[in-house]
Amino acid sequence: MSDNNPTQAPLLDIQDLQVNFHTRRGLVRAVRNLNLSINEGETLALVGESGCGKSVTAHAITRLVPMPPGDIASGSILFRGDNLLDLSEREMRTLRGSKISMIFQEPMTSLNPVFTIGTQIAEVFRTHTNMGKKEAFEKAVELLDLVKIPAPAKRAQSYPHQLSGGMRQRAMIAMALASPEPGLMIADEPTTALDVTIQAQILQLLSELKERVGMSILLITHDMGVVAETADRVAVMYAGRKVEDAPVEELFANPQHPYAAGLLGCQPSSPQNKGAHRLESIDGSVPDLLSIGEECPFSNRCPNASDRCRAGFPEKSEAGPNHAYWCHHPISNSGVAS
Amino acid sequence: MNETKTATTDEIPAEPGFWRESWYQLTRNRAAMVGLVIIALFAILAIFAPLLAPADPVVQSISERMTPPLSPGYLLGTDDLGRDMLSRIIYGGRISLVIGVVSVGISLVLGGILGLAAGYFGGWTDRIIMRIIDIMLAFPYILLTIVIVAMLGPSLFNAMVAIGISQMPRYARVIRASVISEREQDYVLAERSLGTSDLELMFRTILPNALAPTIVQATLGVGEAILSSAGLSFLGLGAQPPTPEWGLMIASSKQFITTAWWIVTLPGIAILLTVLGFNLLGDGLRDILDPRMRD
Amino acid sequence: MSPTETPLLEARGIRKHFTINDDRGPARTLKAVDGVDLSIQAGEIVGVVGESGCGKSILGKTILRLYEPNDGELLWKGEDLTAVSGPGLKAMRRDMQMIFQDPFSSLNPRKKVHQIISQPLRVHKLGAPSELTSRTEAVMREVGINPAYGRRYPHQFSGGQRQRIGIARALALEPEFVVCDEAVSALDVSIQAQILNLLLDLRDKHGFANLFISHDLAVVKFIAERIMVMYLGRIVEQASKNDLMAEPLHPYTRALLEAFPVADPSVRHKKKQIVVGDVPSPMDPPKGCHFHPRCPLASEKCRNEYPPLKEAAPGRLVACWAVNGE
Repeated sequence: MSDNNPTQAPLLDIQDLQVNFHTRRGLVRAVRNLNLSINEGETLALVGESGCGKSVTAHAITRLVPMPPGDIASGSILFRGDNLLDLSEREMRTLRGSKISMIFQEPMTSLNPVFTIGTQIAEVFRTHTNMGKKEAFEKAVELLDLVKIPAPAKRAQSYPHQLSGGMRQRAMIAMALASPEPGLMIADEPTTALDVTIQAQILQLLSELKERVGMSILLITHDMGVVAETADRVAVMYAGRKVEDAPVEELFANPQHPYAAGLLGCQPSSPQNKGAHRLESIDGSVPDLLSIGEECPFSNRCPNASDRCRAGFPEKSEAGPNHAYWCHHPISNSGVAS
Repeated sequence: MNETKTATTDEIPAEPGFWRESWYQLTRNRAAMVGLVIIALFAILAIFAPLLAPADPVVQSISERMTPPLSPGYLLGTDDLGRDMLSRIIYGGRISLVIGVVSVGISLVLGGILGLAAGYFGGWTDRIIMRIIDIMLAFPYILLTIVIVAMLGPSLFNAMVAIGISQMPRYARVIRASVISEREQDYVLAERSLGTSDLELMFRTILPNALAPTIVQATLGVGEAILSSAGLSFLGLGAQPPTPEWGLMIASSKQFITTAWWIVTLPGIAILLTVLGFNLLGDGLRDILDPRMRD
Repeated sequence: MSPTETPLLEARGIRKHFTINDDRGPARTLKAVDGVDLSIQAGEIVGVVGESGCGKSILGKTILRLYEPNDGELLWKGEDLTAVSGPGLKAMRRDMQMIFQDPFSSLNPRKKVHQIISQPLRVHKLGAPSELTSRTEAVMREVGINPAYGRRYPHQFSGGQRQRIGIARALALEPEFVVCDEAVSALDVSIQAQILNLLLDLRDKHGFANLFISHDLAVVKFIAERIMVMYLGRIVEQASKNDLMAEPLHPYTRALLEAFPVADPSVRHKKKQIVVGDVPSPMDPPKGCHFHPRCPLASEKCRNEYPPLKEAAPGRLVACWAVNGE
C-alpha cells in the first residue's frame, strides 16, 4: 500500500465501457466508449450535469447497475489487474466494502436505521476479519474518532436518525474505512445534501484521510467548486461521453472542450464572473439520450458546432501531457483571451 | 457581454404520462388482466342483457321446472319455478354491477367530501370528522349495514345506500391521508399565493391529485359491495322477489341444494367470479399505483 | 437607498414560531423566524443567505402571508398588511408573488401549462378569455417557453423549462415584489445560469423588487445588491454586496465565505480556518448569541446575551458583541 509509485499500473482502469438501459421507449446509451483510469492515491473527479452518466459509471464499477433494465454491453473494468466484470456475484460482494467502498449523497438511505452506528461499523470489521464482537466495536469507536466525531464512544451507541446529516456522512466514511485495505472510495455527491460549513469540513476530512490511509477517491459531483477544492484530475462527461480529461489546474486554466469551458463559465463563483452583469451560459438543455446517434452530443448547444460535429463523435486529441479532449473545434489558447 | 441568452430549444423529453405508464404496467400484470377480462365480460353481458338473454328472466314455465343444465333450450337449466337460469344470471349481473358501482359512488362522494374537509382544514374540523369515522369503523361492517337497511326498510335501493354509508369511512380515511400529503406540496402553496380560494384549492387543485390512491380501494370496494348486497338479499333485506338478484336467487332456492344443485350453485359461481375479477384488478392496481413499487 | 423614501415593503420584528407536538415529551416551540427587520425598495434585489434551518424560507413565506406571523408588522408602501384578510388579502396577492425551489413539485401535475400560467389571471378576473390567452402566450414567450407547448403537462418539460413555467406564473400578474425561494437550487449549473440571467432580464424590464433566498452564497453574491445573512432565525449581518464581500464583519459570515468552495484550484491552499461543529437544532438554539459555540471570538458575554443588530459602519448592520463592543 504505502510503497506506491506513480509509474505503476493504475489502480482502476476502465476500458471502452458501454452501459445501456433497455427502456420501453428504446435503448438508452447511458455510458458510451468510456475509458477512465485512476492512479493509486489519486482523487479523480467525474463531473457533469444530471443524465451525463457519472453515477451509472460508479454503479458499473461496483456492479450495482440494475439488470435488467441495465446492461453492461461491453468493456472491461480492471481493478489492480482483475476484470471486475468477470468476477462472480459472490467475489464482487467481498470486494464491495473491502477494497472498493462507496459513500452517497444521502447517508440515511445506506445506514440501517435499527442498528447503532457502532454496531454497523463493527459489522464491517467482522465480515472481513475474524475479530471478536467487543474488539470490533472498539475499533469502530477508534474510526469514529478518526473521522472526528466528537465523543466517539458515546456516538457509537447512537442510531442513525439521532445524528445530524454531517455526522451521518462521517459515520459512512468511517464505515468505508473499516475495510482491511481501503483501495478505492467512490464518493457519489458526498456533500450535495450538506450545508456549506459542513461540506467544507467533510471535504477537508476526505483529503486528510486520503493522505493518511493512502486510498484513491473517485469523486462524483456536479459542483465545480468542490472539484477545484479536492480533485487531482478531472474527467468531464456529457450525455454518456467523456469529453475532456485533464489535471485540475490545467482544466480550469485551459479548458479545450466548449462544454467544459461553458460549465466553468456558468459557475457564479468562477473568477471570470466577478463583477459580471450576466453569467456565461450554455443555451438549451441536455438532449434526450434516446435521440443521440453517433454525433457529438453537445453539437445542438455548441456555439462552434459544424457539420463535422453532427456527422460523428471526434477522436481523442491531446492539448498537453495528460490533457485529452474529444472535440473537432476546441477552444484554442487565443480564444480564451477574448 | 450583455447579450442575454434566455432562449430555449424546443426539445421536450417525451416521458410517458402517469396514466399511460400505469396502463402499460397493468397490461403486463397477468392477474390484473384476468380480472379485467372477467369484469369486461360481465359488463358486456349486463349492458346487452336484453339482446343476449335467451328468455325473459321472470317468466315462469311450471312444466319445465328444475330442468338440468345443458338441456335443449336451457343451457344452464331452469329454477324451481321454471325460469331460465342463464337469463336470470345475465340480468342478475346487471343488478350486481349497478349495486357495486352505485354503492361505491355513494361512498366516494360522502367519504370524499368528509376526507377532503378533514384533511384540508385540519384542526377541530379534522378531529370531529375523524372521531365520527372512528366510531363508524368500530361497528362490525355487516352489522352496520343491516342496521341501516332495517331503519330505511328493505329494498334494493336502500341496500345500496346502506352499503355506501358503511363503506364510506375507509374512503374518508384514504382521501384524508392523501389530501394531507398533497396539501403540503409546493404547487398548492403556489396556487394559494396567487389568491386562489379555498373551495377551488380543495376541489380543483388538491382533489384530482388525491384521488389516485382511492382507485384501488374503489375497485376492491365494488367486489365487496356486490358480496354485501348478495348477503343482504339472502337475508331478505335487499332485492325482493322476483328480481333476478344473485343473492336472492341463492336464498330462495337453498332447499333444493340436494335435488337441483345448479339453482343454488350457478348464482354462487357468478358472485364468486365477479368479486374475484374486481379483487384481482384491485390488487394489480395496488401494485402499480403504489409509488414504492416504482423507481 | 435614501431614508426619506418609503420602502416598498418593510417588516418589523417579524416572528414565526411553530409548536411541535411529537409523541415525546411536552410540546416545544420552534422559533423559525425570531424578530427579523427588513426593508426593500422598489426594484431592489435583496439576498437572504443562510444554512438549512436558519429560517430563511419561512421568512419568505411569512412575508407573503403564506404563514401567519406570530408577531411583528408588515408594511406595504407604508400600509399595514398584517391586519388584512379576505378580499384585501387577495388584492395584496396580486402584487406579491413567489417562485419556488422545486420545479417538480411546484406545478400542479394535473394541469396543462397554459392553465397553470393563466390561473393567476383567472383568479383575479383579469380580462376576457381571449385576452387571457394572448396574455398567457405573451408571458410564455417572455420566459422562453414556446406557446405552442401550452397544452402539455408539466412532466413533459425538463427541470429548467419547468422553472421557466413557474416564473411565468409568478410574473403573469406583473407583481411589484417577488420572493425567490431557492429558485435555482434544484437545477443543473448550466440551466441555473440561464435562469439567473432570465430573472435579471425580467427584473430590468419590469422593475419588480426581489427577495432572493438561497443557501448558495455564490448565487446570492451574483444576483443581489444587498445581502442579509441569517443564522437560526435571526439576521446576523446585513450589508451591501460589495461591503460584505470586501470585508465580512460577523464571524459567521466570515465562516460562510471561507467554507464556500471557489471554482479556482489555484486558491485551494490559501484556505484559512474552517468553522467547527454542526449547525445547532433550531428547536434548541444555544443560549446567548446562537453562534457562540462555533465562534472563534466567543466571550463570556456572548454565552449569556444575544447581541443586538447594530449599525457597525454606514449602511452595515451586525449582531455581534466582538464587532460592536458594548
